[in-house]
Amino acid sequence: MALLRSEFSDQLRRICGGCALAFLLCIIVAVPLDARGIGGRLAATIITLLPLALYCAAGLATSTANPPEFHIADRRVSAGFAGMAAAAQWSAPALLLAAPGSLFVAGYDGRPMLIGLTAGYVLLVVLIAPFMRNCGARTLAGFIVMRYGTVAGLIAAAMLFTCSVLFMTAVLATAVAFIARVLATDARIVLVIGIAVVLLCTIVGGMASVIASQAAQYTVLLIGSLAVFFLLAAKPFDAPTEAPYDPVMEAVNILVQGLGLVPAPSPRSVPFHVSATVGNLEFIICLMAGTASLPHIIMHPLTTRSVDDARKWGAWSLLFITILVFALPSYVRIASSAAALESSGIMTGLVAAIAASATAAAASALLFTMAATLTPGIQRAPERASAVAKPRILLARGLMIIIAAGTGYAVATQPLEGASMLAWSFSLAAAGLFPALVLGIWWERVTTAGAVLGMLSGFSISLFYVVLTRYFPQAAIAELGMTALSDPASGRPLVEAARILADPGWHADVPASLANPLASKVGWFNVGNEACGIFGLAFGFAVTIAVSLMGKKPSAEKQELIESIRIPRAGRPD
Amino acid sequence: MADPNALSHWRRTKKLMLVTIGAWGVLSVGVPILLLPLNLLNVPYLDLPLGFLMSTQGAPIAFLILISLFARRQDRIDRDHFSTGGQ
Repeated sequence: MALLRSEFSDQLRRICGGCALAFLLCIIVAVPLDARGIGGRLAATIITLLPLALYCAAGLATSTANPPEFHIADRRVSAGFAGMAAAAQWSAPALLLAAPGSLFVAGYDGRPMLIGLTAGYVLLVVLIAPFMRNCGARTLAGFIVMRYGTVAGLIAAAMLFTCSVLFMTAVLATAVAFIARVLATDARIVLVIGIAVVLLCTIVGGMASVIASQAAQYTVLLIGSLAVFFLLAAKPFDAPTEAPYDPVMEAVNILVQGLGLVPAPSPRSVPFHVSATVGNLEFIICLMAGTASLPHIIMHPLTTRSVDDARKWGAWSLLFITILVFALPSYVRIASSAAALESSGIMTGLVAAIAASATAAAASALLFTMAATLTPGIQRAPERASAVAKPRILLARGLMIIIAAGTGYAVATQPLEGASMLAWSFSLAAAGLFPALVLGIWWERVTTAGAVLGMLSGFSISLFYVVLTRYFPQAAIAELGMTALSDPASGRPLVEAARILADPGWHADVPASLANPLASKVGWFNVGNEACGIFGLAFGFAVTIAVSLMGKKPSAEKQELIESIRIPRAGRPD
Repeated sequence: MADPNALSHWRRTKKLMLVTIGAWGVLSVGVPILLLPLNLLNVPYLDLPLGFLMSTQGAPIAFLILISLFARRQDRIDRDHFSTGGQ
């Protein structure tokens, strides 16, 4: 077994090394050509497509039909590589939430995302992941089945599937539109290529392929963003004067002075108002709890070798994320400037490649966990020799094709609000799962009824809030006492609700349409619907605790299970 | 849970969890609330307001350090009580 373990790490090392070499060579060849203005378009296409081919190769190199390898990468991923894979998929919401990279360019506007998306790893590693790894669960829904029984597991699976679908369509829709604009190509071609790559990276070897291609994606993300940084340092482009916040130019200056890569404060880095900073807090909490409750994020510690590695995984993830946080601002600076993109084929290619890598990393993990969540027998990985092992892998592969085709179709045909959907995904996952997960591990008194009612009430309150504020804002104001959200900068309402409601025209307008001037601009307590999880979390915890205390103590058998989860077990069977 | 060894292991684990989550709370919830006072302090050398630094590049680094310390402590607790630890 020890031999096998190091073999997988060696394979991942070779994949990362090969990707780094091929991508670097490609950039080095393109630089002199680009400087003479030859083949700019060709360079952009090759730099975008080469990494995608490398991901397919990484996926194919780790293809397997062996059940433990397919479902949980045989639990022989080192903490470092699992962390690297997690960091690759972390970059997708970080780069795509709101405008590309608003995380970095928006100053304090983007701050909740950075704190929320990284602090969630602390919650996950301290409260949840090691215990889930210890009991041998294969998926998040599988853990819920073990702890609360099948009914709770099915409810959790349905909720997680909803959140994952939201996440995946949001990521795909935003990225496809962005890459098509950068490369000036047809969005449908980008979508088809993207779906094909993601499917190939996932379907041939399941979790093993996902981890391998994510490691390759991280390599490209890092080399690509460093290449952007050095190209910019060599030849800075004319920054548009209205640029509110300019981390790259600041960083270049600071680097020249030998200080490091820290952006300087700008007008945007001064917070608007105290209430605005507090107002962001709900969204930060939703992002943190959502990070700890989304199945495609929890899957990485479950593939590690031991409980101890599941904890070390968190440190590795944050190390790789921190490296990206320092490397990516240059990319964001270029990606948000049309003038800079037009100036160079290499830049265009690098920006498209980085966006594609981040998206593919998240989408393949989501695709895999969605299929895993829907595959029956979700508690544990099936035995190697089991009669149902082969059909289960076939079923998982079939589900992946159906889900990929379905989300692709939705992205191609539906108008989607990427950033909002991504935020809802985090919020809904937090509201539905977080209380049941945390209390289920840390408080042995939680009963099945308490968990089920807690999950249902938390999730449905948050969903209700989203649907109401997004699709029926007029009714929400008239019937439920919601008010217009206020602008964080000025403190004034975002929309004049009274004037819009008094306008007889809005009855004729389809209330659900995007054109509705009140859509997503109303709420209770000035909470935007992206932070709807805050209500769900509060209700979820309250209902779970109250119902559990009213019911009988969980059976002795359950108590034993909970106690056994807490004792780190060596060589625990999967 | 009759086993006194398992009991004291769990007691230490819980204590470490509370300490870590407390630090996490200060960093993730306290920093956004105390942003303005923190910004009054200037970090020497980098010449940036502390609140700004802590809520941008500082956040992932702080959480990285927090998780590393936690993982090391919990591993020691596991080893003290069970010969194999979490390996």
